[in-house]
Amino acid sequence: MTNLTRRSFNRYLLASAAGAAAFGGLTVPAFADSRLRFMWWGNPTRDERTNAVVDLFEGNNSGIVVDTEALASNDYWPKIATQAAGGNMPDVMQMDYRFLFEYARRGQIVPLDDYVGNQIDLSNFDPGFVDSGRVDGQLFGIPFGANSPSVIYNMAKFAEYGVTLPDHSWTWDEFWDFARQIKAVAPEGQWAVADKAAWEPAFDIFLRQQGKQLYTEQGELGYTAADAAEYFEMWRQAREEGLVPPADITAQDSDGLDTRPISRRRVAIDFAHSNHLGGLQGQNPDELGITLFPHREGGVPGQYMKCATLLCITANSDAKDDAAKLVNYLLTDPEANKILRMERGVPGDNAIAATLLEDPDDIERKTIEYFAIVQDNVSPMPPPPPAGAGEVEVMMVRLYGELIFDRLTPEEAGERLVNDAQAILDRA
Amino acid sequence: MATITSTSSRWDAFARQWRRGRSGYMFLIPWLIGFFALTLGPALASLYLAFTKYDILTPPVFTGLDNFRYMFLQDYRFRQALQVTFTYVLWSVPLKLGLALLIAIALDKGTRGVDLYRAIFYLPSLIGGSVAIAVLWRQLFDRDGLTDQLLQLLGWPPGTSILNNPDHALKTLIVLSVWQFGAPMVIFLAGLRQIPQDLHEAARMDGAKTMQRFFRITLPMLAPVIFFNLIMQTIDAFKAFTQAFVVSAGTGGPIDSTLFYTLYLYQEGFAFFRMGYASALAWFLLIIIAAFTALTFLSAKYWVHYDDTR
Repeated sequence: MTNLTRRSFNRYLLASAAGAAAFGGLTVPAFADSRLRFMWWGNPTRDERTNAVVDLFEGNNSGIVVDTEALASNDYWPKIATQAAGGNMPDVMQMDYRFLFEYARRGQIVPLDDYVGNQIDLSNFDPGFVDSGRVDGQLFGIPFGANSPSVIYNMAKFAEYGVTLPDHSWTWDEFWDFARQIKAVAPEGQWAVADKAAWEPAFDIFLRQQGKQLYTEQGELGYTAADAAEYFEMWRQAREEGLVPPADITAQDSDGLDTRPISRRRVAIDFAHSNHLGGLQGQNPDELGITLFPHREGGVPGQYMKCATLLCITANSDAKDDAAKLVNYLLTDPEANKILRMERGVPGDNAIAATLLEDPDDIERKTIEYFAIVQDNVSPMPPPPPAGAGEVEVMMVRLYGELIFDRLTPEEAGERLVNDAQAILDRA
Repeated sequence: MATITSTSSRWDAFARQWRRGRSGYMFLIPWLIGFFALTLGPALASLYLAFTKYDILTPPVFTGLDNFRYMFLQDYRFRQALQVTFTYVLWSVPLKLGLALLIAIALDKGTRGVDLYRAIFYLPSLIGGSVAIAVLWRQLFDRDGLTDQLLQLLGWPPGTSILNNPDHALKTLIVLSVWQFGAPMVIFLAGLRQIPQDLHEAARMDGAKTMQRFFRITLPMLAPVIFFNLIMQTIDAFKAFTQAFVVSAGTGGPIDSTLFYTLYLYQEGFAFFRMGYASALAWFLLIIIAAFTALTFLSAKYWVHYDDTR
């Protein structure tokens, strides 16, 4: 899962050393009126930028000291859960939409409605976007940035193979035809498309394109064994034709930025959340591009915009007002966002987003162009996943492994997926 | 009167025993403090949690034997974890002890530079449990890794990834474990030094061959040491975690082929927030290890003989 390369680690060390030298002695007062803890999961770029912003915040708010802790997402949730059990969660935490409801309904995070208009200024946010942080009518998390699942591709490989990316209105058939063009010219050890069938957003989009979904409003499964079997069969054919890599390469992909097939330079096309474009580009010497998921012939749009991460204040914080100040600073301060930029997705604060649009870097320009086309091809955000959904996601990866190692047929895998998912939901 | 005498003599016996064992208990004190201050409380808490549903975020709910019922009747990953763990223990422990004994006997010959060799052979045990070595192992057995290239030299098709093949992934972890034979080797070496040379000389006089001397003298004399190593290594093997965690990125994959019991326990507790069920798994592991240790002890009277029995 680690995204840490030696290069980025060194960069991180240098940056933090420079940061410490520049701000260290000045901003940490001898005594602090309040001490906040702020935790997030991330990657070296995010950690570096967020720490720099926190230093600025401390400089502007004498009397507030912020201790930061950044972890890999695999380590983040166990640690947060353990701290929740011990009643010593951080004051401000980065939240995933998946867990927002569980933490809110268990009273581990607090409603922020009273802070909005006081410490927290959301006047430049789209109300609809803010609403994705609501649980049972109350605002428990404020979206930190927007993203959408996407197709990421290697432009240099396309040039090398002499192929041209079809228009983003492509159907799944056109997508696989394009993959066949690549396969025809790709050298041995190279494949067209990463086998991301087990990546839940890919399955989700496939279902939503036919008006189905992973989970219903009531938290029940929104698809049948036959739906899953059809999906698995599509990928099995691709594997049989050699369009996606064989099982052992797919098994290496633990969804970390560095283990994905596109980062290991095995494939020309991969799938990822749009805010990972920068991170994936950092792993790749070739220039990457971003486009829409293939569409279903005669189907409906399957993609949706989602909040990449949210910011929450925990129930056991004893400096909630100061915590709200920090949240506001991270979300709405122009100086802060000049440093954070779009690493957590496109900012929800429209004024900030507009400022960033004035001088976008390469990744940001691509992301913005991508968002412009995504916006015309989205359906509403899905209902919140039920408890146990996180485990279903892990189970699906395992189950798909059995499929690609030929232990199961697509039909059997479809049956197993539905049965095992139901068993997990029943047990949660 | 009689009772008083017997009580006081029992007290004397205890005092005598205490005087004899005093230094031993002194050495145990750091461990005892650690056990009572740090381990005992959480261990007892986990015994209670084993009978609850506990998601960490909300207080535990008592559910009786539900966890164990699910474990034995429904949980196919639990069965897979048992199978992986037993396969690992039954292969890695005998292989490791065999290799350790072989190397120890070779080193015991007293050739020049023995100390150096001993240090070199011990090295993997020092570094072997580390995350760095597990990462190195990944590289070795991955597609395009060293083994892949060696196999290609031998005429295999390119792109053989042993580590990502569910039929072979566990084997690489067994090899990784066997490679760390240093600790039992050092203990075997000490044991070999204890065997009186006159036994060997007498046997040689009587015309015993090398193999005969090994089976009739070395092995029986070494039995207490083998016994000790067997118990320690078996317990260690049941508790294996780091290598599988790093090599499979915490998944136990490919498709659960390296799902060690401890790894499954960790996933249930810390990834899926079922701390109650994870506690039940932990206590069942304790029972398994205790049973294996008891069996080894019971079998000992048939093959372990101490020459210092008073």
